[in-house]
Amino acid sequence: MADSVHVSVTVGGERHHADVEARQLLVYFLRETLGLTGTHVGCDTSNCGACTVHLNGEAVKSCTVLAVQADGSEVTTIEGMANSGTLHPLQEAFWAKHGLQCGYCTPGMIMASADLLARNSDPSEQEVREALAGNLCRCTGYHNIVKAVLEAAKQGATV
Amino acid sequence: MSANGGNANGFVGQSLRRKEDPKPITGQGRYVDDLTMTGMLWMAFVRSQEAHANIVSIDTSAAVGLPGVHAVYTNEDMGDLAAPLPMAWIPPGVEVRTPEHWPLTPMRIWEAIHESDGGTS
Repeated sequence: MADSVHVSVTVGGERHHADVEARQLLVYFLRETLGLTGTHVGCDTSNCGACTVHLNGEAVKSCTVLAVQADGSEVTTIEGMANSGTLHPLQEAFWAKHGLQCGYCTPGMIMASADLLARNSDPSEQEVREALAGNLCRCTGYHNIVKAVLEAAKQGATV
Repeated sequence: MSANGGNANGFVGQSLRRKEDPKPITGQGRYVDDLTMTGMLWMAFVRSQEAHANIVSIDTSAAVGLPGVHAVYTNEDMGDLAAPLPMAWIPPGVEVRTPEHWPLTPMRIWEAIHESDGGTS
């Protein structure tokens, strides 16, 4: 590869080194280079939020971040949310409150919600809806998703 | 099943967790875009660079000549598929008008429609 760039990215606590095309997007670095297919591509245009991951603790749409921009950074994906078999409170809440049907948007929903709860541990319903304005769901509808996030907040999901 | 409204299984009125949810909420779901198969090829769609235009011709020779390219298709190559996508089933007695959705842009048809429009306006 003529334009390959060496990057080092820590994903889910594990350090990865790779030579990537300079133009490669973070989402494709995660999905294709590392094989972490839990992060989805829904629109490729930063509309849908299915690709949301945490970059140095902040939610980003990984289809709008270059892999080279993540060099030296820490990334958390949906695969890193459960702690050795124990579901994250948001994952529990999405399951319990029927916050998903096909599940395609769910990883992005959970990552965006985790970012919200890290900033605001007791959000109102309106604040949850605003925080998820950049995440689109095409089957469940947002009602149960909002209920799930509020439930997770109640359970103390601030991480 | 009980005719007297019995609740033998204890499920009636209960909110049950879906059995299929653990995979998608942990990122372990398998969607079509997640599949990798031996010999799998990738496809890219070429979109029009014009918002409104007639296609006069499509020259695919440069694309076909690129290394790694196995095939380039236009509507002309679609064979039996080169027709509006049919509706699978129309309820009897219901008049349903299905809009035309072509697999790929039908330049000839498009041209014909254009000429027809021009002739009748």
